[in-house]
Amino acid sequence: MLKNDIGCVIVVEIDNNGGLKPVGIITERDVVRILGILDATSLHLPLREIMSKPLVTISITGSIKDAIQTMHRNNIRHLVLIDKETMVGVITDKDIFKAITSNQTAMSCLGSVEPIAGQKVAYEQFTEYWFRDFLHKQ
Amino acid sequence: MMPESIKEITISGFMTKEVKTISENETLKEASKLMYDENIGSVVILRKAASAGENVASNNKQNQAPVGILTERDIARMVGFSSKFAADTNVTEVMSKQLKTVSPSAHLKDAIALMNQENIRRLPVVDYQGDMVGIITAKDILKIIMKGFMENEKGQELKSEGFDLLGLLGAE
Repeated sequence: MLKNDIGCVIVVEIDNNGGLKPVGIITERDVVRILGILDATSLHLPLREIMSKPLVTISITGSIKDAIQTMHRNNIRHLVLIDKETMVGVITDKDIFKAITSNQTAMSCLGSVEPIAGQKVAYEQFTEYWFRDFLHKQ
Repeated sequence: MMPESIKEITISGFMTKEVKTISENETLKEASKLMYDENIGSVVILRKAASAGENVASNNKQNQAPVGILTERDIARMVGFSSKFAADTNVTEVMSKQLKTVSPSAHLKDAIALMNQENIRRLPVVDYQGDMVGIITAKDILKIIMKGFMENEKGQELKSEGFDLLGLLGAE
């Protein structure tokens, strides 16, 4: 996490065919949890014992709204992106924040009193757009 | 009157007023425990000696100057440097001291711009006297944005049925 300046690592199992199967996640919050309720020596425990599981995933075909709702429902900030059965990336709340706030069309949709014709289309286009462009590829 | 754009809303209206704080003489262990217990991602460090978890709003308004912020990321980074790491390290050695703050009268767009520019998710809200009056996070802003999207998308029907749009986003 430190070397790559990222907030999580995905823990994988290697199956018989040499394929990688994601089984859990370690986030910065897990590190804090271990330190807060256990002690520093517990930081040397195997990942299997301290990782958060099961992984919360979202399909590559999901919308930005699905992603935010899933994060809020589970009170988490990282979602593993799945294309059929395969892990294709990780999406974070910061990615979503940046994608929305730097998108003029998305921001211009907000806060107007009367719904504007064509707004829904812009919103839909936007949700497709960000999933294509804003995920962390492996 | 409804603001013309959500971006024009001032910070004071939707910041979190109950900021969890810890004093300068506490340790990483105590900060981690507070963050775990409260299920939060950061604590603000105040200059005055205050008891852990003390609520700013209920405090004496004097000497509420924040001197730094300690986030999950700061702690994870410290742990990564295992040779230097100890749970009894003082919070001031690990916290981010270059504290970025916003005024309660600043607009949402100012907070968004600062977060994006500095690549951070949290901004303590500090008044003209230098006292902390709240905190605004990227999560708070996302919630507001999603509420805006939903209202635009679904119109007023859901509201009139007593459907809580914001509740869709909240923790269950």
